Amino acid sequence: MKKLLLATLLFGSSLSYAQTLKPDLKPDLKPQSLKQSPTQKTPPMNLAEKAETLRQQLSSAQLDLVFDPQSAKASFDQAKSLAGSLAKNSGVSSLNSYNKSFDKSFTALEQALNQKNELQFASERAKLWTSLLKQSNQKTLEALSQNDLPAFERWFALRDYRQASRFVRPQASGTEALEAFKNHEISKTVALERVRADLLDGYQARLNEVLQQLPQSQKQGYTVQVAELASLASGYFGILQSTYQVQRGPAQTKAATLAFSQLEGQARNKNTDLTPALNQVSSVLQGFRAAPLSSEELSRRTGQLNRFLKLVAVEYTRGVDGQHVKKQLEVQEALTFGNGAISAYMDLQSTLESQQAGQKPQPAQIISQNLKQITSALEQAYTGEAVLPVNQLQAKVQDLQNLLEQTLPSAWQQGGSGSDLEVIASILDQMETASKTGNSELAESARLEAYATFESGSEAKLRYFDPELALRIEGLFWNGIEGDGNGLAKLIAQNKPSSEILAVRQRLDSEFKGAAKILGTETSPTAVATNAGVLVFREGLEAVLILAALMASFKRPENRHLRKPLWAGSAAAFAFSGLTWWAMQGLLSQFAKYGEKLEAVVSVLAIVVLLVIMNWFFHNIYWTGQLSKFHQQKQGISKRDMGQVIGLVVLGFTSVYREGFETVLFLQSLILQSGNAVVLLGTSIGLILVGLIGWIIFALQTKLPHKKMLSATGLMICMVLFMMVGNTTHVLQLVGWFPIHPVAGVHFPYWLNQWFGMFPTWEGLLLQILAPMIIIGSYFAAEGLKRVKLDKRMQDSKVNA
Amino acid sequence: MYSDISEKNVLARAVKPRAVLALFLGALSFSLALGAAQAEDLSSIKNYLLERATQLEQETAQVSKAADAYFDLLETKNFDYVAVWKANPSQVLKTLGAARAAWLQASPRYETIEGIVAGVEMLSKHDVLLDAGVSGQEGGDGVAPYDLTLPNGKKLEKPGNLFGVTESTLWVSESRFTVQGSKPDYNRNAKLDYGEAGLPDANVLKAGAARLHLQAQALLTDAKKWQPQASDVFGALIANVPTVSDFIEIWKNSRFVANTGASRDFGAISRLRDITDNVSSWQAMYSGVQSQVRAKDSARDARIVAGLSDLKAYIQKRYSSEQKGRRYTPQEAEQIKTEAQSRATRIVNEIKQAAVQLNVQLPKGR
Repeated sequence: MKKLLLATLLFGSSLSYAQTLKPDLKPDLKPQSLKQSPTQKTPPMNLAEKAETLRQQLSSAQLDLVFDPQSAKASFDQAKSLAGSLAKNSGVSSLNSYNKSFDKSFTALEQALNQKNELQFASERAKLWTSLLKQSNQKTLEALSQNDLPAFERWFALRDYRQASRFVRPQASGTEALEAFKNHEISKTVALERVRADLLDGYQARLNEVLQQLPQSQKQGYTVQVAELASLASGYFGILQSTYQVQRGPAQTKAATLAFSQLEGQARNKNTDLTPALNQVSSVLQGFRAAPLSSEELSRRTGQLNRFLKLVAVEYTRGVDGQHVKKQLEVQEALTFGNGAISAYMDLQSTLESQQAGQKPQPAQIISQNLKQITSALEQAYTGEAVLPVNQLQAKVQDLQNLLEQTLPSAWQQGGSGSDLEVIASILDQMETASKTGNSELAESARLEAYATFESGSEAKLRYFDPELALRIEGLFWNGIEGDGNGLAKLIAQNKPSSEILAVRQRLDSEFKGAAKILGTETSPTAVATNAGVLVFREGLEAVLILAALMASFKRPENRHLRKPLWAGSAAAFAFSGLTWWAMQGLLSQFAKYGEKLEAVVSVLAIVVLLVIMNWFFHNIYWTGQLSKFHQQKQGISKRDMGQVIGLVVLGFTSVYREGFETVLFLQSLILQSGNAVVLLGTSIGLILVGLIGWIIFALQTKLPHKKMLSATGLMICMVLFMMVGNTTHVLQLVGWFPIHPVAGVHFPYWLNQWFGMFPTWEGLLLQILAPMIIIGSYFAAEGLKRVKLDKRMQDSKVNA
Repeated sequence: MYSDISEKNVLARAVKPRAVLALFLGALSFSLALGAAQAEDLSSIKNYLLERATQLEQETAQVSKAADAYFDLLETKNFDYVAVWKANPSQVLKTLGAARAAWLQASPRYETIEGIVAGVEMLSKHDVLLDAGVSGQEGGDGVAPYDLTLPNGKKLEKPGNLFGVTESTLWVSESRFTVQGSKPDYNRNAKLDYGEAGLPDANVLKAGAARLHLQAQALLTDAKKWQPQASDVFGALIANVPTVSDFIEIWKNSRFVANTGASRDFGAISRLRDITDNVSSWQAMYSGVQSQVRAKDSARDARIVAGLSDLKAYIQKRYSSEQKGRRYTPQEAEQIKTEAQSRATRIVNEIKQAAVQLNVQLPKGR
């Protein structure tokens, strides 16, 4: 029977194992029984299954160690066999190198088993499991970097996850990255980065969970669990250790490892107070973040930090009069925001420190100290130890805000209208927590704070763009929509159950989503890519036609060699346009912290560029004037012997680069709206089309309907202008540089905002009508002017005749 | 030579469209068959639910019938409990025994579908009323939103979930629903065992049992309307599997572990038994999407199947020991909780990864 069990355990599925081991506990699956694989009745356990079964057996052995030693021994033996199978039969030779480590662990476990030493057993069990996870972590990343997907999938499944609960939902960013990689949506480097982040994030979460649980377990006198948790903490840190070393260096890593091993050692002694060891561990982990944050997260945390700091000063000013606390609740809130700011900063600190490596003193640490000083002052005021005068606290906060502005990278400091809404959401979280714990006073205060943030920021703008939505949100904050009573103020005042408050909060969240769309400057990525493509095609077409016209006179065999310098100049201009793009990106990133204001300025510039392009097009001056200028230049260069080649290179360069420069300048505005990827996609499509047209013209010598093509693209540019004017007016209104006069009773669907930049304000709509009218008007004016000039010339010729 | 080529061309022309058509029809029928198989898998979950919800409706009807008989018995003596007990103890024990027996059938029955009821949005309100909602006194987020009007006109405001109300009345674990003075010896062992400290308040029992039956009927009606989707199944599993630790926490605080201050509910049946029944409902749910998961990632499917089965076996083993007389210490109970949650975490994460692999759109927040 024992042999059968072992064989089943090693080679059969764990379902069949469970059924064999415990026939009386056969799962009641009829008629919906889970199916075995159709190809194999008892498929061999995969690596992760084996490892998990090993863990489970050791857990069972631990539970039965004292009460049922025989059962504990049986579980232990099965685990030992599985360990052997893992090392020998898993098909992964590298595990063999861990045979010794396995043997050592099992010797220690067996000793604990024989001595019925639960503490030792629990500790050794945790060590063994985390060492297995550590190996798996390495193997997973190695397999992906070597493109060995089957091995990756095998190892990736042998891992620990962030503990799931009713409130913590499982994450799948690693699997998402893998699927995206398989579908060729992301590169291997990106996939590797995401999988690594997923694993590190999971293990850091487990480490934090374990450390959080430890003091509670010790308080309850659960000594076995304490020993297990301490070893788990040490093991999880072992997995994160290499990342820790990259961020903190070898000396700090040594200190951290020592702190964990001290914790582990002390936890095996039932009577030791673990508080000092836990404090030491907490100190070495301060500011450590294993999984790097994405740029969006960094930006979001920076926004939180700035806003929470601002609210610290606001609340403290409300709560303190001179050197006396007049409203304890306000000081408590200031402290809550202070802790929120520290928490946000802790997520940024390690990344900031790595960027400032070598700088002494490190601004990152100065920020940390200042933050701690502020929260310490808040704590003292709250507990009544000492009250810092309001002006001094405000000065401290102001100094810190200045330091943050100077220190944090500009890219992090980008924040849109959405940031207000994020802060509101986080304050509403506090309200929700307070209402769950029955603290209605705190819940009401948080509600008021959230409403105040909404009222002083987003509401004013929202009232113009969507007054009904603004009213609905206001209603949900107070007495409900049209006074139906389902408003937060009323529910909190009536001490209603938190489930009712939560329901209103969910409605608020949904309304805020709508507000975020309206107050955001988000444009449809497809629309942005199309606009980029249209502009690149149009400008590229002009460049191609100019080149074609210039090359036309070098058809004869004796002149053909003169085409080469023109081509060289054009190629250089193309490359230089790329460099201009890169330079513009660098320049704009310096001003990135100005967010929407920068977008407004660049958008205005883009409209100017568009108007100039349109003007050239409709006036026909560009073609008559510019081409004749180029031809004159060309004639001049062709006549000269010296420097002829250089002259033609310059001619090719200038004729293409002026188009390239305009395009790059215009595209910056689109990049600010939707990012590089979308714009580059549109640009690539535009360039491919230009290349195709160029090939038709130059290689096939085909005559294309140039004028019609220019007219068609001109009309398309007109649509781009329409959208640009609408969006720019919207941004100008959002940053407060333009007045807002809503069109009463008009409500545009979201797609009109996204695709045509149409918002129901008089300013936006009139300017959208006006811009094409200026173009058309100037066209007729220019045509009239031309006619007058022609008439004059005809009259002159008549006179001369 | 020429004619050969020509024949080949003619043949090729004749064969190609047919081959393409055959390929297309083959692919179409494969897709249809796959779709039908998936629909069949999902409908098996509904069948599972309907079968058990129907049994639940019948069993709660029995609870209600026995409660009515007990009420009628007391009504004849104008609710003089001591007099009724003295006059006719066997009849009292018979009616209450019948009510308890029916309850002991109904409660585990519900546990075998709780995973589905609690996880599917359109059914979840029934779970709060039947089994998961707490009383107004306990407060918090999950108060069962109903008041119980008794036959004597009294109103119990938000007394808690219906299985809890009926259990604490039948097993006299809630003093408000108990009439002291008589100590029925159900198992005739001449000892005062759990559930023998008094007689159930007939008004509470009658109203509670009737409401329980009504709610079971409502659940059955809604279950018939439910059209299961893969997203429902994944969403329900992701929402439910992590609740293992909540179950064990309740068990820790019940009379099976806690020595003092045990909670009023979950004393009749150990919560460990409820977990295994819940795992059965998760297994039933998973069977509805299993073919899809297996087709995409058979190793993951194997881990999910084994995970659910092992979790069930692990808890069953603890339950079995408990039935044999083992009393787990709070520390051991904590270890069982940690271990079970560890397993549940692994299972739920595997299910989530499977949903991502299959590109299933999960309900918000799952």
